[in-house]
Amino acid sequence: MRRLFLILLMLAVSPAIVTAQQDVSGYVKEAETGKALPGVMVQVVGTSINVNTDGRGYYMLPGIKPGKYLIDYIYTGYKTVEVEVEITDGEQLPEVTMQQTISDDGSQNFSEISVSLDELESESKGQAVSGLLQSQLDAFSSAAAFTFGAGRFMIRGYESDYSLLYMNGVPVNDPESGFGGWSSWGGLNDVTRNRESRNGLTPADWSFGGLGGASYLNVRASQQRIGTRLSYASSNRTYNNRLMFTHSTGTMENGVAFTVSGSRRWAEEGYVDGTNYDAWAYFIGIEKKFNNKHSVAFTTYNAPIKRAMQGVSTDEANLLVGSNFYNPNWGYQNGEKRNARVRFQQEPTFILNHYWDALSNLKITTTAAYSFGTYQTTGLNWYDTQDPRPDYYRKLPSYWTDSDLSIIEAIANSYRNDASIRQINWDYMYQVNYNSRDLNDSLRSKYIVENRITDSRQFTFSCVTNWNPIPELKVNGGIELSLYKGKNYKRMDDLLGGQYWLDIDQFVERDFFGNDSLAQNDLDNPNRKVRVGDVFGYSYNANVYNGGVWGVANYSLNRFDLYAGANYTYTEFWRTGNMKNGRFPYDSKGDSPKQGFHNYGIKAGGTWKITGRHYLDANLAYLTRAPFFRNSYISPRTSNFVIPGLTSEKIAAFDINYNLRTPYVKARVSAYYTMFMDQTELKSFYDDTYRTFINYTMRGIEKVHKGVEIGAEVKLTTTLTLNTAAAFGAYQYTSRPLATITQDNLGTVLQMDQVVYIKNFYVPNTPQTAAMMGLRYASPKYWFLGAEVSYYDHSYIDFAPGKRTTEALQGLEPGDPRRDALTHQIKVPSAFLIDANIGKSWRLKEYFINLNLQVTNLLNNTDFKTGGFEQARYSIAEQTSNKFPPKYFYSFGRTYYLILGLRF
Amino acid sequence: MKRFSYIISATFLGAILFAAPGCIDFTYDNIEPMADSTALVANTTIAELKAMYPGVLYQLDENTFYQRDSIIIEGVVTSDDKEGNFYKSIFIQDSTGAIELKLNKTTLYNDYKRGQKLVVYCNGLYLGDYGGQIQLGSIYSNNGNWEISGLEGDPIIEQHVFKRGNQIVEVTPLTMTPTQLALSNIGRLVKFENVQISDTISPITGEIYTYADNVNKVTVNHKLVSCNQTFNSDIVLRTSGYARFAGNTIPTKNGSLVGILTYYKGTYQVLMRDTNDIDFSNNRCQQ
Repeated sequence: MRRLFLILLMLAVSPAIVTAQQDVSGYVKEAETGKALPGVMVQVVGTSINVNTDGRGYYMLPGIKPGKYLIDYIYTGYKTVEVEVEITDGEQLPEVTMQQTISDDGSQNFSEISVSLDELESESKGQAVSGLLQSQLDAFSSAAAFTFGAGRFMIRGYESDYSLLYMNGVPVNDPESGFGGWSSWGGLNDVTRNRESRNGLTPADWSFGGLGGASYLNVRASQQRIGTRLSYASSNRTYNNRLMFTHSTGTMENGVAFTVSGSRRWAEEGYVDGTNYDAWAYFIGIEKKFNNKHSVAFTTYNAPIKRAMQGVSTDEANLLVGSNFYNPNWGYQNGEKRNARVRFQQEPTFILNHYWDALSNLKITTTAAYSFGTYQTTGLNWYDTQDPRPDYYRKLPSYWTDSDLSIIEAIANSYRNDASIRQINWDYMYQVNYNSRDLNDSLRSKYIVENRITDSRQFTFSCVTNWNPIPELKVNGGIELSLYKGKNYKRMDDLLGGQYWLDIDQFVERDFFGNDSLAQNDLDNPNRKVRVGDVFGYSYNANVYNGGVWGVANYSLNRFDLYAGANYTYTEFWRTGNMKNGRFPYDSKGDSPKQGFHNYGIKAGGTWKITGRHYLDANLAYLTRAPFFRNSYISPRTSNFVIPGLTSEKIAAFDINYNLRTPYVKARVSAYYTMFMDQTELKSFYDDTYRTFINYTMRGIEKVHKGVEIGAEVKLTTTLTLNTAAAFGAYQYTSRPLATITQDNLGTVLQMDQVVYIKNFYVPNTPQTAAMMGLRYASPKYWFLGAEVSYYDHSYIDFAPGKRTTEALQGLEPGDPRRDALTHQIKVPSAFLIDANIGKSWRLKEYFINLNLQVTNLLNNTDFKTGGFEQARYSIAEQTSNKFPPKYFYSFGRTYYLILGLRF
Repeated sequence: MKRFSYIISATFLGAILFAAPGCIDFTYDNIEPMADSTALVANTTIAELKAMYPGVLYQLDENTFYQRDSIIIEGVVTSDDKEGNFYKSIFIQDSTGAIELKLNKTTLYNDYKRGQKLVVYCNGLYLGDYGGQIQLGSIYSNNGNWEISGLEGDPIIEQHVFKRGNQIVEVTPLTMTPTQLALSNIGRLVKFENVQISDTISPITGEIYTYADNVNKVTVNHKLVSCNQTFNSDIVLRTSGYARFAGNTIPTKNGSLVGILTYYKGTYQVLMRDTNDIDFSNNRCQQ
C-alpha cells in the first residue's frame, strides 16, 4: 500500500545536490512532457512557508528547520502532489512531476456565476464568488467553490466584501462598494489559474487579509504554463459558446516571458428568456528578467461584457407564466426580444510589477496599477403614465380579488397567452410617446430607456516585503495606497420615438405642484430637455482614498508555528456633486465634507504540529473597517448627507481547525465564532405610508456568525475517491438596530431612531446548512466519471425591516395572524441537487486533447429557491403585504457545460 | 509539427474574430407610429344604451336588446385626466347623449385624447349609477355588495374599448340653457355663459377660495350662478383635491365655463379639464 501511495504521487528521484545554504529547494516538472512547470504553489503543510515555482520550475523554501514534513504541490489543472520528506540540512529535494487532471480547468469554468440576480431592490450585491478562489485548499473549500455555489452558499455567511482579492499584487475590491471585481477578468480563465488563497484569518505573505480570507491571482508571464491552449465550450447557461486562446512562451533565453490570451463568449439567448450575452476578453503579459535580482512585468487586460439581465418576479407571476425563470425584463419589438435591462461593463487595467530579490533573505515586490472602468445598466423610466413593468402588482390577478371570478380568470388567461401583457409592451410605449405632443408640438417622451452609469478611475500602488532575518522568523509587511474616483450619473439611452425628456423629479412635481425649482434635478439648467446621449437626473463623483500599512511576523518552533500581525488603514471619502439639485440647493453641488476613518486590525494565531499528520491551528482577530461610500450617504444621487452615526464596523473573530493528513484521508474540521458590531445598512424603496421613495438606514447592527465546517477526501481505492463536506452555521442578528427614515425627495426626516425588532433574525440569502458527498472514478486510461449530491437548508430570504417596527404593528394584538405574517422571517424549503461529470483526454505526440462534460442539477429541479427578498412595500391600511409578496431566486434547472480543449 | 501548431492557432484565432457572430444584437429598429383601428361598427346609440338602465346594477348581454347579439356604441372622448380632475374614468358622447366609461387605470389621456373616437363593445359590461348619473363599467365586491367599478386593467379594457383611427374630432360644447340642463345631457361637454361663482371669499380666512383643498386632497364644490338665466337646479363647479390646479385661487369675475356636465342627487356639476376651460374676464353681475 505504501508503494502504491508513492506511485500515486508520481515521484521521481533525481540526484541531490548539496548546497551550502540552509534552504531547501527543488524543481517541478510536468509528467507527460518533462517540461518545467512555472507558477506551482509549494506549501509546507502546517507552516507559513509557501512559495511559487519560477520559470524553470525551481522553488526554494527558506528557513525550514530539520524535521519531517508534508509538502503540497498545487497547480490548477493538475493533480495535487503530496510529498513526505525528512529534512536534515539544507538540501535539494527530489524532483516532483505533476500530472494533468483529465478535467483540466473544467471545474473552474463550470462555476462561473450563473446567478445574475443582483437586481431590483438591492442594486448589485456583488457576486457570490468568495469561495471560488479558495478551491485548491481542501475538500471543504473545493465544495464551497464548485458545488455549493448553486445554492448561493457563502463561506461562514460572509459577504464577498470581507474577502480581499489581488491581481498580481493589486487589490481589486471596488473601493466604492467593497465587492470583488470578479467579472473584470471574466473569460481569462487560462491565465488566472495560478491562485493562492487563504482561508479565513490564516496569514498570507502578500496581504494582511480580510475576515473572509484573501486570494492572489498570480498572472506573471514567467509563471504561466508554457505552450498554447485552444478551447471551445458549449453550454446552455448564461452563454452558449465560448472560444478561448492562450499562448505563453515561458522565460526565453533573453529573459523575456510573454503571455497572450483572448476569448469570446456569446449567446443569442441564455438559459433565461430574453438574455443575450456578448463578452470579449484579452490579456497581454510581458515579463523581463534582467538578472537574478530584478524582474519587471507589465500586464494589461480587459473583459468587456454586454448582457441582457434576468429579472425576478413573484411566485404568482411565475405560476401564471408556468416558469420560475419568467423574465419580466423583455418584450417584443418588431418581432425581436428586446430586454430593457442591459448591462455593459469593462475595466481596462494596466499593471506594472517590479520583483526584487534584494538579498537572499529579502524580497521586495512593488506594484503600480491604473484602471478605468465603466459599469452601465439600462432601465425603463416613465413620467405620468402607466407602470410599464408587466409584473407590476396592479396588473396581476391577485390585485383584482374583489372582481368577478370570470374577470380574474380572463386576466390570468391573457397573462398566460398574450406576450404583450406578460412581457414589456414596447409597442405601447412608442405609441404613447408618439401621441405625447406638448404645446410646441414636440414629442415629450413619457417612456424612456435610461442608462445608469458608474465610470471609475483608480490608481493603486503597493509594496510588499518578505524578510527572513533568521531561519525561524519570517516577517512580511507592506504598504497599500489607492486613489479612486467614480462618476455616477444617468445618460439618456433611448427616447422610444419621442424627442426629449424633461429633467425634473416627478414625485416632487406631483407632491409640490407649483413649486418649479423644487422639482429640478439641475437648478443650473432648469426644465432642460434631455436628448439621447445627454447626462441627466443626477451626477456625482465618489472619491475614495485609502492608504495602509501592515505587517505579520511568523515564528517557527519545533512543534509550533506562531504568528502575529497588525495593520492600519486610513480611509477618506467624499462626494462631489456635479448638479445643483432643486431639493438641496446648498448640499448637492461641489465637494461635500470629507469623511475620514482610522482603522486597524490585529490578529494572532498558531499551528500545533501534533504529529506530521495531525495539525491543530487557531486564529484570533480583532478588526475595524471603514464604512463603504455606497452605504454612507442617505441619498448620494441628490445630496451630501451621510447617514446618522456613521462609524467604523468592528469585528472580533476566532476559529480553530483540526487537519488530518494521512495517505488515504485528508480532512479538516473547523469551528468559528465571529461577532460583527456597528454595521450599517441602507435601503431605498417606495413606501406606501408616505407615498414616496424613502431611504431606510439602520445602524447599530450586530451579528454573530458561528458554526462548524467539515471536509474530507477519502481515497477508497487507487481509482475511486470520495469527497464530502458539510457546513453547519448559525448567522444571526443579535441587536435591535435603530432606523432612520428620510424622504428621498426632500431629505425630510420622517422617523428617527425607530427600533427594528430583528434580534435573532437570520442573515439572509445563504444556506446556513449545506452538505455534499461525491464519488469520483478516475481510470488509469485517462477518463473519469463523477457524481455528487448536495443538500441545502436553513436559508432565509432578505427581510423588510420596516415591517418589524411598533409603527407597522400598531393596533394588531398579539395573536392576530396579520402580526405574525408581517414579522416572521421566511425560510425557503430545503433542497438537494445532483451533479455529474465525465471527461476523457488523449495524447497525440505533443498534442493533448481533453473533452469534459458537466451536467448540473441532473434531476432538473426547477423549484429550488436559493433565496429572495421581501418587497419593502406593504399596505399600511390593511396591515398586510399580501399584494407585495416576496420574490425568490431560483437555481437553474438542468444545465450542461461541454468543453473541448487542445493544448500543445 | 511546429507549422501544424501555427495553422491550428491561426485558424482558431480567425474563428474567434470572424467566424463567431460579429455581434450579438443589442440594437432595435424604432417602432413606427400607427393608428389603432377596429372593424366594429356601432349598432346602438348612447341614448339607447342609457335607456336600458333599470335603476339597479345591470349586466349588458345579447338579450338586452331585441335581436341584437352585440351591443356596440361609438363616441368621442371629451374628458381629460391630464390635470388630475378626472380619475379612472372617461366621458364619451355621440349625437344622442354621453356616458361615463369607468376604466380602472390612471393617466388615461395617454391612451384616449380629447376628440379620440372610441368604439365600446358593451356585452359583459355593466350599467350602474352614482347619485343618479349612469355609468358604464365593470363590477367589484365592496365587502360583499357588488358595485359599479372600472374595467380591470389592460387585459379587460383591450376586450371592450377600441380606438377608431387617430383622427381628432373637435367637439363643440353644448351651450347650456335652463331647458338644456336636463338628465339627457349628463356627461356631455357643455358650456355655461355669463356665469360666476357665488361665494368667492372664505369668511374664515378672508382670502379668495381655491378650486379645491390641495393640501388635504379634498374635493370642493363652488356654487355657480347666472344673472340672466334661471336654472331650475343647483349648478356647482366641482374640482378634485388631486387636480393640479386645485390650489389655484378661483377666478372671481364673470364669464364662460366649459366642462363635463355631471350629476349627483339633484345637483348638476361641471368638471373642468384644465384652466383653459374657464374664462371669467367680465365684471361680476349683481346676483
